[in-house]
Amino acid sequence: MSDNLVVRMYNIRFGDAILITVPDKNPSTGRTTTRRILIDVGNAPKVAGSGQGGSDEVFEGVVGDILDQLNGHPLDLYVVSHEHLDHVQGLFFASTKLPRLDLARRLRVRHVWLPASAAPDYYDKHPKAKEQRLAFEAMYRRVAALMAARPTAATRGFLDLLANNDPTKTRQCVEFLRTLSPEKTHYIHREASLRGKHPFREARLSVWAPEEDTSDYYGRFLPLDAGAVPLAPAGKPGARRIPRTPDPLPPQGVDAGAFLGLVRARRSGAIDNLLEIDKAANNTSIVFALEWRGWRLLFAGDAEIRSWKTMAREGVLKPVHFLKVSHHGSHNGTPADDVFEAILPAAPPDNRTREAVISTWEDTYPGIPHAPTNTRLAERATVHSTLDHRDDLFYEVTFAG
Amino acid sequence: MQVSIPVIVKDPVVTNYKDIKPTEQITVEADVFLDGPVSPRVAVVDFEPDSGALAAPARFAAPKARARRGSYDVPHPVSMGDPDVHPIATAVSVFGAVHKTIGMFEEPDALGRSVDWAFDAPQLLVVPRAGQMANAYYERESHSLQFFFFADPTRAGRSIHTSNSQDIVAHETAHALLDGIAPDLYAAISPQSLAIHEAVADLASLLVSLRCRELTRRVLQDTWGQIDNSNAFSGLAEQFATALDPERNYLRNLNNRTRVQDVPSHGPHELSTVLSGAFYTLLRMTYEELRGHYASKSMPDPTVVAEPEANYVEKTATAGEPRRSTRSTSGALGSNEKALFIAAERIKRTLVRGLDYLPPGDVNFADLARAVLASDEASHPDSSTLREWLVQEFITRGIVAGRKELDVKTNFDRKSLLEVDIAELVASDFAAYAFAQRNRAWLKIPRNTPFEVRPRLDLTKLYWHRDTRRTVREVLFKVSWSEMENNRSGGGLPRQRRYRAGTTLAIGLDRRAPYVRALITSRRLEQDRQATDAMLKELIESEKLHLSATANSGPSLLRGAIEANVGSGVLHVQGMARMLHVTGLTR
Repeated sequence: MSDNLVVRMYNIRFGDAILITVPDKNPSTGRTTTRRILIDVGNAPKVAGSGQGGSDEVFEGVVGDILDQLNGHPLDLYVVSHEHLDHVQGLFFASTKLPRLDLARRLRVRHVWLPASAAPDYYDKHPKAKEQRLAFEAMYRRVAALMAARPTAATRGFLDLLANNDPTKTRQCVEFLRTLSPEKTHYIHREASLRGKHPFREARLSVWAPEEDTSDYYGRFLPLDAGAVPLAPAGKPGARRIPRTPDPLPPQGVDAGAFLGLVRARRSGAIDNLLEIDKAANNTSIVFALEWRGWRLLFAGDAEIRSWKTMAREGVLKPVHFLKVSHHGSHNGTPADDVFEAILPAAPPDNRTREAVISTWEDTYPGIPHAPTNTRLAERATVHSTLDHRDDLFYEVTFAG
Repeated sequence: MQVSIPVIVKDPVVTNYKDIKPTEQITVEADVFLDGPVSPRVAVVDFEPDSGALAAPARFAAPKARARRGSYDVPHPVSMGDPDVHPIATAVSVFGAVHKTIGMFEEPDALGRSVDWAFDAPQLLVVPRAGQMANAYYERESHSLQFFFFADPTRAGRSIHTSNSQDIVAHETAHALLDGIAPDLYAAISPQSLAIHEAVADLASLLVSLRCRELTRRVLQDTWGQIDNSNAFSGLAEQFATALDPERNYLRNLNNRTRVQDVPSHGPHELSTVLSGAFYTLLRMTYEELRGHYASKSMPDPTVVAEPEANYVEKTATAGEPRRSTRSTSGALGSNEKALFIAAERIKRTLVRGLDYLPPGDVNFADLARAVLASDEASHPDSSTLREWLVQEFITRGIVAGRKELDVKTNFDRKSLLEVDIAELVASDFAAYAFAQRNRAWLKIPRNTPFEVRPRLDLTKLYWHRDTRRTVREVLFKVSWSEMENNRSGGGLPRQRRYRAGTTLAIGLDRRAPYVRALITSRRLEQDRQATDAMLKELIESEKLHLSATANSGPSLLRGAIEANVGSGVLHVQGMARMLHVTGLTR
């Protein structure tokens, strides 16, 4: 048995699939058990004309390898960082589209962690968050209808982003993931007790985010050209069927070019609002640290600035030796200054190596990967990117015990 | 052609409790008017909030037979005590209020010219029902003023329309005008540059409202002439502000004593009150000085206001609508009224002409102060008392540490001006660049730095002397360039950033030979750099700074973000003025 902790980063293109193998020594018996944590498994949903970051072809190899690694043993902990398809759709896809993997039989999961806000009764207990969630879903329907009605308004990257945030498909995946361990599916937030929610004896897990009340993670929308696509009633995702109003024509005496520019500008808030929707879900990410034999590894999901600021305010940030770079290396995923200094200080607290991994792919979402962020990370840690392993099934980062 | 327009006074709530007519009738003049309303420079485009289709326009009724003025059909005029305004009445009112503001800036005793919009088109588009949000903004990119509406907290199912507030309409129109006058402010990265935008817009609201005779008369009656006893003028956007916070009956109060050092956050809106407060104090002092004289029927001190100036204002305020004027009028002025009108017109001229002298680039309050004092000296060579009051205000409010910082050398000869053909300098870019190149050091253009010469402005303005008024021609020559400085904003941004600097050369042409009326170069100070650091940090933390991955990422599809890109390791921020409104960051 290896005495190393191994983080296996799968090349799932634009998405996360991370398998952590941890030699976990029972302090009472001295016996070491190899335990495994799987985080996510998903990539950007494939939509018409989208880039290569959303290929479904990778799932068979990735999920097959995960099952091979388990080699008949149960998975000790499966962590769903947040409810976005590039994090949750892989296992559902394998279950429904790849029967030869025999997932139902071969994948047994002892504990499942889902973000607190994924609990079936969550929004009954948090009415403010529910109100915001409903507003966000309503806005999602409008943005989706607008982009469907006026394809020229959407660029490919934003269609990808829209698909990634599809609440109907995400819900379907999360429902499936709940079935992996119906009795031991736990809804996690920073203050939730972890007792009985994982099997580790030596390794220590601590959750840094999200907060239980997610209402703080929601931003504000820009007013969307209300007329372009009328608002469908809540709970009726049929906005696409609403007949759209024809584009208004320039009135007499009004400069036609300027008028059409104005009409376009009135719709451009859709992209801003879509990003707000995306951010809100990203900020519900489970961010957790794994401490083992002096190493501290941080898995940040897709947490963005609001979540990082909350973590800083709550005083949970600590220097780490390993960072799963948040949000695929976006500018918003790795805040600078105080947060960055807290997790990757300029003066390392010890002489251990520091590693940062970025699960990303080009030509998928606008602005990602983000070269200045990569440069900043490289000043503090050895940076590994999926793009350095584009022909490999995975790469590994190893921590000696 | 002229058209008579009913414009909502202040807003429907204010006119109701002040018991004055809800609209004032103003006259707008243009070559043509069309349904909409539409004129060559302003077009109202009203979208139905529920469908996005264009709403029925206000129909233009051409002048009948020998009549000079046309009108717009308003089937449901604004009625006293009814806060609900029909969309056509709103469309007509907002059109009038925009023109009223434009007229105030452009008339002969202000800029004396037509302002070119900062966008490359002749028409400003006005959207009176832009969507649901407690906001209104000018947006250069869409050539538009956008007025939003929001739920009225006091009346279920009803909305408050920002387009029905004359203060707000004047404020946003002033942003558009200022963008045409000083386009660099839109991209400036200094909080004080942005605060200038906001202060000018607030002061424009004040000055536009002071042009409503019935409102001023009522306020002066109610307060016995003590304008400090009412915030009807100094408090802006009452209906809007009260709806957002019942404890507040104005969005910003210009009657304040705020100093620069009282705004450690460097927030542009808060900072703006320093500047607007200084000008409001100037208005108040001028008014108090004049009302004492007019009450006792004595002539005011000519070092405050010259007699020809006072006569001109009184005449234009009472003699019907002169050409290009947009004042509403009726009857002779009372002494308080006269004092207030004359004081307001003087403040308008001092401020607006100062904007024309403003150097291009990232300017601060001190740059504006120098420009205002230099241009005022040209406009009112004999009225120095008012400038002295301004100097004291600028010092008291921490805009400058002492009067020496306000010194600008004015009215001197320069050999290079004698050697140049002024007409060619105005008309020919080649001649203008050659002139700037020859006078590089004098214009303070750094060595080995590319520069840009702006279109020259050949202006004719009214100047006020002790005994007479003069029509004076002057040419404004502006040159700008880009400089780099350290960026200490953090936030993962590059360690260097770009900002713009520039010089204004005002050339006087009222003597036998051209001479330098003023030469003003922007002076960026360490505190400006620190304030920029703080503002960028705030933008990063509020996730409103959208950093493109490369310098060539192309135009952004985002509307609510400030765009920045990095080229050769240097940060370049664009459209920062959008943070004033569009991003919803501040109000």
